[in-house]
Amino acid sequence: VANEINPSRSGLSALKRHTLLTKIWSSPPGWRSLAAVNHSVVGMRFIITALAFFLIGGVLAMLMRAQLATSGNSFLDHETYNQIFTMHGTIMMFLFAVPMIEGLGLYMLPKLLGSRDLAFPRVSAFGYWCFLFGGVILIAALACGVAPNGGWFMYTPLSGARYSPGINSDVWLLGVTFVEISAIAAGIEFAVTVLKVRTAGMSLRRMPLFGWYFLVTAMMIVFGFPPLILGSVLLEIERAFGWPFFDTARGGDPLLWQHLFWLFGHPEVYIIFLPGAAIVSTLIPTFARRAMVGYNWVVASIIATGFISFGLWVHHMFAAGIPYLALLFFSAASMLVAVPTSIQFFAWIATLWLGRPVLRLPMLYLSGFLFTFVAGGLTGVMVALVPFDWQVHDTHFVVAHLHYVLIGGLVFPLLAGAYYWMPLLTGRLPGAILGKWAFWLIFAGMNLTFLVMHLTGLLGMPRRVYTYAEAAGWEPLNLISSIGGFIMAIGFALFVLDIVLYSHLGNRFRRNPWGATTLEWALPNPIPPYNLASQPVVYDERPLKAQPGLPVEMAAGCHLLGVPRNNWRETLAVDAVSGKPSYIILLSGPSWTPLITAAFTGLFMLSFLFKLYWLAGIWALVTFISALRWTWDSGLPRDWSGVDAGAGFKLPLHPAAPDPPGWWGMLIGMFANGTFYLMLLFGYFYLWAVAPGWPPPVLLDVSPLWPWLAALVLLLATGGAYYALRSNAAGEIKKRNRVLILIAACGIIAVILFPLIPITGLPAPQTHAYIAVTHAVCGYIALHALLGALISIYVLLRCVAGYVSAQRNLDLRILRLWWLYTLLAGLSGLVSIHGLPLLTGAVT
Amino acid sequence: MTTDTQHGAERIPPVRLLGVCLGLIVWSSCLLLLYAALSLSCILAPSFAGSGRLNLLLGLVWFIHLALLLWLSRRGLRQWRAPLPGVQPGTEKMLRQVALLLHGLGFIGTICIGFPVVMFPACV
Repeated sequence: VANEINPSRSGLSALKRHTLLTKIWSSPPGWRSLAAVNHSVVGMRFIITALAFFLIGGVLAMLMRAQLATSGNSFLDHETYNQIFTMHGTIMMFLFAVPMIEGLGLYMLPKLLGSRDLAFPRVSAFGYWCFLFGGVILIAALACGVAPNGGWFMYTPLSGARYSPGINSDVWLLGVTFVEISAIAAGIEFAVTVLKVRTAGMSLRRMPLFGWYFLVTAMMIVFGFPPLILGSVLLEIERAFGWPFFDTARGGDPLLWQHLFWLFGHPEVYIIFLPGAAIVSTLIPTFARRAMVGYNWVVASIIATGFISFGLWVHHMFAAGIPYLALLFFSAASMLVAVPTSIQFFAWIATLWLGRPVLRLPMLYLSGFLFTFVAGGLTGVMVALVPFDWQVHDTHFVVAHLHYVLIGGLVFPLLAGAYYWMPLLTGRLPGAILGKWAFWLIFAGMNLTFLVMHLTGLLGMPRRVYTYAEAAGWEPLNLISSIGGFIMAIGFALFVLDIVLYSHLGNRFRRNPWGATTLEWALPNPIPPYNLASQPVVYDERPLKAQPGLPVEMAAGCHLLGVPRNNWRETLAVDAVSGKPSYIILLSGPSWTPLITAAFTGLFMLSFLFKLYWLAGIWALVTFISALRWTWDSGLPRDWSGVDAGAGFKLPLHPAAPDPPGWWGMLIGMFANGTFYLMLLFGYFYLWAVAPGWPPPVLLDVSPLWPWLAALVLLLATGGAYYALRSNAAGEIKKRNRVLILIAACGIIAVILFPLIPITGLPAPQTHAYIAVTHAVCGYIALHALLGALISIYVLLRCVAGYVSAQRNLDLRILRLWWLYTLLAGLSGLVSIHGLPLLTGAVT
Repeated sequence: MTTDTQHGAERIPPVRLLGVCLGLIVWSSCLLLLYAALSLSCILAPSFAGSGRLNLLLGLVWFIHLALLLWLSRRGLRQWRAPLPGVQPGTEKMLRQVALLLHGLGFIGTICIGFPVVMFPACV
């Protein structure tokens, strides 16, 4: 065990400390900055790219409004219009809203939580490249005239191979799935960062509400996105290989797609709203000049919103033929979600009421949010009523409602946040005149467009029609909406101009121009790449109010980790609840592996898109190898004792900690993976119970020996993983290594056994949905066994290279978790595919 | 040099966060079970559903969840009133209050989603 190698350098001047930390934390210059992983760089990339996509989506909206302005218009033909409205929705939801909140979180969270970076800087960088490449695929398809054209929710059977034979739907399924990888990466990143990577003393009670909002958003992403990823994977397999998951004629059901889509789609609304509300809850106390009223109530309402939002998905399917009583369950749940949302609104109003509010430019945008979102919420309660929903279903009323919710819930808070944090980013203050003009144009244009659109919808105008007859009487209202749309577009253009102008010409400011009390305003300007020269111990929810000397003390290195050493990128990890310092995380520096891995993933997607499946297989393997290469040098090649963290703390390094970020990340990643699998099993049971053409004409017919053998092999591998960890702790290195080889062998046997079960016991998967789902379940387990085998070999290599010891055993614990999960998935899969036919009496 | 434990902050296990959400987990369970039992019964056993016995079954599911939530809420109230520990009193107080609020909301939410089972016929 080595002790720390650098002596204490407490005599460092602030300037010297800054120079040393800058050298350690800087991103490479020029084209090599593509390897940057710093959260400020990656977060800003997300924000700028999402803004670019927003502008493209906005142009598409203007094209639609130009087309609908008059009846019988031939400005766009129906096919182009179909592509444009599909891409407008897809861009705004998947390439603007979600990536923008990812960018916001990546950029702001460490600064608000008093840390130097996120838990997994390379994962963020990987997520960015996935987002960019996925977005480019979608936009390139639009430019080539082969963009998706089946609506942003891609309902089957319209999006199936029979009615959409081109690559349009494939572009959506693959492009959006690519972008969703980025969202899952961000979800894991946010959850681990908020739980573990805060400054000392920042208990959950002292954490800014911004952190709570992003914690809940992160968990919603982790549980909310996998259903759509599964749906996209199944539909792409159906289109590519003819496995009939959604084809009624062969035992599938289009409603399964709707369930999977909306199990994602409704939480998605709140995944977008909660970060917007995070901005509101950060800004209102600043401009009300008092602490947030009802902190605990707001925390409870954030958590409640997250939970209840998962219980509403069926309200998008009120017209799909579900029993009335079931509709009432979801109608009630839909109204229930207004309760926690209202609690937040009342807390904001009470804070303003009890404070001494000042109307600065960001507050003007917040007032726009308060009005618009409440209006959208009220129409939301209206469409939660089943009879009313039936009347306005698929009309422009719903389009108006969703725009009130999304523009009100996300866009206005984002604009407010942009003006609020602009001084932090640019070192200059925003001007007042252009910003106010932009606000009023956006606000007036938005209401002119969508308030009127409620009436268009009530008069019966359906969504997604490219033109209408003059006799319908919708023309005046559509013309007003179109004028409003263009006014709004001018407002957004003015906003962009204002931000660009004042970023260069605005007045410079001294620290903290708004008098805020959160930690990001304690940072020097321009913000250094390491954020804080030392990490403070905080004693209050509003640290800058309770400890006004904090900025100077932090710069002087008076707090934790104020002494740079060993070129390490150090940041504190704390106990998740109490905020007690737990260990020091050594973060990774700039790396090309995120970009390379994302590029390989992109090649996999493109190969699949162009139906080069053998090539796609090769790229999938290369991507996995690249990901392993990426993690190869994580951790330390030798043991360390606890090191001096400053301020009287002596802490271990993260490789020796019982719950390092990698462990948390893997655990939360498993939640996402488990949700994916649970949804697959849900699909199996759903089809069995609901779809026509079931029970299937043939049932799985294999010797009971096969499943028992497959289960035994998984059990052996999992037991081996436990045993390897135990041998490692006891210092029995040879035994550990031999067990790792045995685990890999078990994994390989499982890879052979699981696909053999449906291949030998059933006809081709193209014949019936039952056979297709059985193949999918066995394929999922086999894939996990294969990855488990490869990870075992990889861990063995890392053991040999010295990255694993009795003290540093994270690799082995992750391997154990993987195999435990694979065992559970395998057993539940085997019980489902063998047990359900017995249970339902289909076989005796 | 002192170790971190001398700074007085005791660890609170992260699993407490799951406990805070128990009321909402029970609410979710009630919603899913009601929906699944109704949908499956209407398809697989229409005669059972048509006889009114399905409403009784759904009512029982609802009642069990309500009873569980009532118990959770009472327990939460007792914990909220109990004296706070010497270390991390602010965090502990927050966790107790948030848990109580969420148990209460879960209870109200379960009443809202479940009351139709005693008022409307199933499978119509």
